[in-house]
Amino acid sequence: MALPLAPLIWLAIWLYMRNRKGGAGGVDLSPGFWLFVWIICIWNSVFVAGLLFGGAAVSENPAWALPALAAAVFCFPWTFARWVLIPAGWTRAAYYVLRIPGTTLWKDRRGGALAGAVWAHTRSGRRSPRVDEWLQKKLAALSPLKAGGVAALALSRAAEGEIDFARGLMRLVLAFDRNARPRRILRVAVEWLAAEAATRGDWEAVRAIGSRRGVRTRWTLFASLAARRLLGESRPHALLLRAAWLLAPNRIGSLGLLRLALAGRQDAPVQREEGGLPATFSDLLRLHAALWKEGPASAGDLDRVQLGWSRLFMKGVAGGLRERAAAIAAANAEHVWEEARARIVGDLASMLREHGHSLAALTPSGLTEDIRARLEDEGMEELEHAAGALARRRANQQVLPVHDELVEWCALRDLYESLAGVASNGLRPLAFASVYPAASGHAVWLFNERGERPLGNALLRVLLEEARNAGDVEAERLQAANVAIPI
Amino acid sequence: MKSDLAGRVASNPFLVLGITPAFSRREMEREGQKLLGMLELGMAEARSYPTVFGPRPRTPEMVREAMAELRDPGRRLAHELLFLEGTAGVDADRGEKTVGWSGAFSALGLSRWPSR
Repeated sequence: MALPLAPLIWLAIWLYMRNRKGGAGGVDLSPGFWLFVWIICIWNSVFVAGLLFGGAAVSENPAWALPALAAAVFCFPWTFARWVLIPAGWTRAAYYVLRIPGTTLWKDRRGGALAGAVWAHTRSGRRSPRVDEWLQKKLAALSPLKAGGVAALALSRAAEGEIDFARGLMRLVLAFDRNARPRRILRVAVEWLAAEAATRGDWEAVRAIGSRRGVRTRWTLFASLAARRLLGESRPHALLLRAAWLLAPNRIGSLGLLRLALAGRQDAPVQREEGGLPATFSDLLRLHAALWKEGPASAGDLDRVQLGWSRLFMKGVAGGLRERAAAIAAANAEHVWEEARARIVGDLASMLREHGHSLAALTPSGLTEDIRARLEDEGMEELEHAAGALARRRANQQVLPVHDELVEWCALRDLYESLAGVASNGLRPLAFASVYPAASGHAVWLFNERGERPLGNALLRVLLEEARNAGDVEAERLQAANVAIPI
Repeated sequence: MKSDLAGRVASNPFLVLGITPAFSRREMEREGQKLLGMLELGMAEARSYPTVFGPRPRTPEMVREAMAELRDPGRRLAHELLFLEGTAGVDADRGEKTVGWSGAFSALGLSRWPSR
């Protein structure tokens, strides 16, 4: 069985050298051919490894085990890197082992290997500037950028603490064409996104990720069941949850989530009743300030505060304020009151966008219409400004390194989604129409002129999905044709 | 701090001058001058002031600006409304909050850089 290996390797080398020369002598080989050659090589190696292990067992000579181990690494580089080199934090070793051609990272070997290397570096226990520099050089040299490279960049930025940007990048990994997106990298991205959402307590997002067909993993399935239980919707039975936990990897690490989910619903229903809310401006301001001081505010927190403000402003100018104005000879109590109201409305609108809550999460009150108007005015203006800047840069042919292009794209997408997600449904088509020409032109530019075909295609896929959400039939038709162009 | 309102609360002239709305204009001027003198001498206790978000740096320019703001009755009234005294207790009345699962990344073997 091992006999065809040598001639096959020679044939592959000969074809490769011939191909490299180019011109008329070159042979046009599909990636599938190389995959075929590689699978034969792998199974030959497995056969040889088995023989060597068998020899070691029979002869009781442990020296036989060494070449057998080397053959095993050669056959299963991802498995070895994932379970040995990455946890040990051996960055360069992880990179070079993952560069061994294999079926796992076939679709993006360089980017996938770098993702493994960045992951290993974060596990190394100490951050080495030399290794950092080496990784950054490798990252900057990746072109064209594929899913593995984007995941590597995301892991690197996440480790730096730039979680929002890393989230944007990991979401982009999901949008890559399957020919530029190794399955393992997709799994890393999906699990990272679920873990990040769980960290924020965004159980809705955890549930959505675990429910996505085609990208579900055993861990995201367990996490989504836990999320459903925490959200209190159609609670999965505890036995089912335990079974999912047992089937998922990282059982010991995930025990915390299992316990949390079994303990029951975490986020109590939003309290709509008005009782118990502070009645004075100063007390409400103190409650409002708590939303800035602590981490992300929940929709329930924001609703409670806006209800309190709404009730207070409904009563009109506080009598105390009028008296105080008279005492210090200030003639503008009404103006001060209205100005304070406008500031409160602006702040609530900013917090809704910042924390990604929908306006629908707020109980209709005397303030919600003003919050909606504020969201629409400010958000649209900001979005048009950002889209215009992107279009102008492309028109002026101001080329940025591809990583900076990603920063700009993710910022624009965040801006768009924060507006389309929180405001009225009617605003989504309007927001899409204002951002679409610039975003589409940019993606096509990356695809056609910058040589970043896989990345350009991924951006066009994002636009296609959003065109569907916004109900823009013309854009959907155009982007469907665009994404069909081979990368 | 991204919020304009939060910025206004934290840089409220009353807080910058270390006084409350109960202080008269004359008292305000006296406290302001006292602070300017202390800052000129480089006294440590004058270099920061407490807010609900924790201590903030105080500079002579901020003190002068705060005094100018409080001399105008109209602007003083607006600052009185947004005056939030104290260094603690802003979260005392907060309702339920969303709590995530902090062990998610480590469960998957994903981590941040250790600090240098």
